[in-house]
Amino acid sequence: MPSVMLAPTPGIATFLKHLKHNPVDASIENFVSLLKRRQIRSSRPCAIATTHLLLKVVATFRDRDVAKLVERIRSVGQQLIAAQPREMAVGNIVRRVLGLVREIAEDDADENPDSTSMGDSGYLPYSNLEPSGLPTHFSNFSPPKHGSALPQKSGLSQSDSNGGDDNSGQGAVAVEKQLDRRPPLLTSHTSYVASAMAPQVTSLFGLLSHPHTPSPTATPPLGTQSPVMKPGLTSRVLATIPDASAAKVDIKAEVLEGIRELLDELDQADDQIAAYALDHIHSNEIILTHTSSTTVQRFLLAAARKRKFTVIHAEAYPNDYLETHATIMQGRQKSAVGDDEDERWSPLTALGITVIMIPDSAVFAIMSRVNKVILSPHTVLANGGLVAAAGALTIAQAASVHKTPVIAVSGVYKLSPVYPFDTEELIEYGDAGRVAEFQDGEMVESIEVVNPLFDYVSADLVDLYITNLGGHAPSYLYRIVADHYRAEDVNL
Amino acid sequence: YMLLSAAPHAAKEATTVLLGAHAMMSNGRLYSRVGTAVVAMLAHARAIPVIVCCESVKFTDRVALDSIVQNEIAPSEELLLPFDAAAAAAGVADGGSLAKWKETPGLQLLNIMYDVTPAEYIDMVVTEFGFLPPSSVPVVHRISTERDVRT
Repeated sequence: MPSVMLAPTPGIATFLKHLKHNPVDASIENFVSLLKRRQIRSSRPCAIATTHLLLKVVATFRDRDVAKLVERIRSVGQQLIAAQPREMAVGNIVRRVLGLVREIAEDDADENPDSTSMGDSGYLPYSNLEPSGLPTHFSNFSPPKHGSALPQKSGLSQSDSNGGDDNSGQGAVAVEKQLDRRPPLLTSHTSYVASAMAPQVTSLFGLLSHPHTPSPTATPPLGTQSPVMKPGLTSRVLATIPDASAAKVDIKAEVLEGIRELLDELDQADDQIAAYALDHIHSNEIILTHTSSTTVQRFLLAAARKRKFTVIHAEAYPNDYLETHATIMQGRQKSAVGDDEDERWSPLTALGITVIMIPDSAVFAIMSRVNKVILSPHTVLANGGLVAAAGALTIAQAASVHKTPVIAVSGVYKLSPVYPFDTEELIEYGDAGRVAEFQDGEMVESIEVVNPLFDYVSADLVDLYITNLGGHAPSYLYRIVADHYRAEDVNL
Repeated sequence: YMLLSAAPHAAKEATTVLLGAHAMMSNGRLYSRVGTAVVAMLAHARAIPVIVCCESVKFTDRVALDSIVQNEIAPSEELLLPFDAAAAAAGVADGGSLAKWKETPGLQLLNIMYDVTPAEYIDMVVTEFGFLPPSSVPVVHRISTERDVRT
């Protein structure tokens, strides 16, 4: 086993420290080597490390061009994915960030060059258009004004619709469109286009816009309260030109904000998932699970506070059994990630839950008594299937034979837009020495020993996915993929 | 050579599955070492023939529907790995291992010895009389016991 036994063991904690003190490229190299040597494994640490790394990459990005930012993130992403293609969480985060950047860039681009298209007249309040100091009409659409300007707008549209300038008429129509489409809750940018922007509402960035709406701090406004839509094609054009530079700086700030929101999402995913526990776990149920997954344990702990049930825990020999034993006995005493807050949680037995540990071979035998199976995947795929620790396919199939529901709990960060054309490729193989000791010379020389770390479980064996966004059928996952990722980013 | 958790990977490449038996029940079910049912289930899902090699002396009158009602439990200490057991004996305070499982309230280690494989997963039983389907088990059992009684 090639892990370097210095103090401290290389892993996510050392990587994060390294990231703080070293330049970006060195950190990228460090992360790549950690991935290659498998010193950082499992989806959550990889996702957290990737997010921190990309945060730094964007923060240190000097150029003003958004296309170059996208290229930079893509190239970093390609290096990371090439280092360990089976850690799909890395690719997921890279694609999320790319989607975020593209979304921000598009919102921005829509305002800037496009003064002729009518749809563009209503806007992005926090778009950086406004700092030019000109009394433009964009300010009409910034949220607080939107609310207050509501009645005026409708009046305006009616009066202008008959005659007057084309522009004002169109602008008014846009206003009206906006009014029809969304009540003042959302920012105007989400409303002006029907089609492509609709998913924004559910995207992370769309969610971000809510807190921004009441406070137009980013909207520099000119603060003008001019409710009247002047036929201002000329002033609009003038307004767009000087804003180009201010726009790009803000794009970076928004991307950084978005990445920080992504970090928060990673932190809170387990808590959000655990919030659904009481809906699914009832008293006196017998739940089967395996491996030492934090998400599952916290899910069960959340239910254990109110209900008494039994958990049958399959130790995942030979790859995860030590961690599983530790989880059963002690819960988690210290956090794996350096700067994380409270990651300690007590074992289920401390809350009075009966935990029965069984070897993996007994799964079929006890399945007739099990009410529910809870699995924690390593990766979830867009077709509804999942890749989980070895033993998961056995459990899922035994459950399907006994008609026992199978629940998979995972954060959305584990959901990959990649379609598994070849499920064999997804399986990583581990140390064969754990199966048959290398000291056993005869065995090792004459027999092929295999130790797959993962199993691919197809979508028809899973009944429910519980993510931080709620519960979904496997057939719904493609929609979540569409919400979070862009098609052009799937092939990096 | 793989562990049971890798059984699906083995099943991908197998063309036949051979199993041993501890007993054959009269409803055609196979009572064998725990883990056998897992292998049979995975093979059945891939339409791989499952063949059980079992002497007729192991056939029994009993019927079983699941693995829980009639089973044997081995000592839980067998689930502890050698270093765990040594640590338990020495009273080492290594919280990470299961050595102190007895002191943890609510924690049980279940080490069942056998499991019951449904008859539909078994394609053929090979006995000293020849090849049989699992549904013939009670018939052969009755005939062989009657013969013994008569002689």
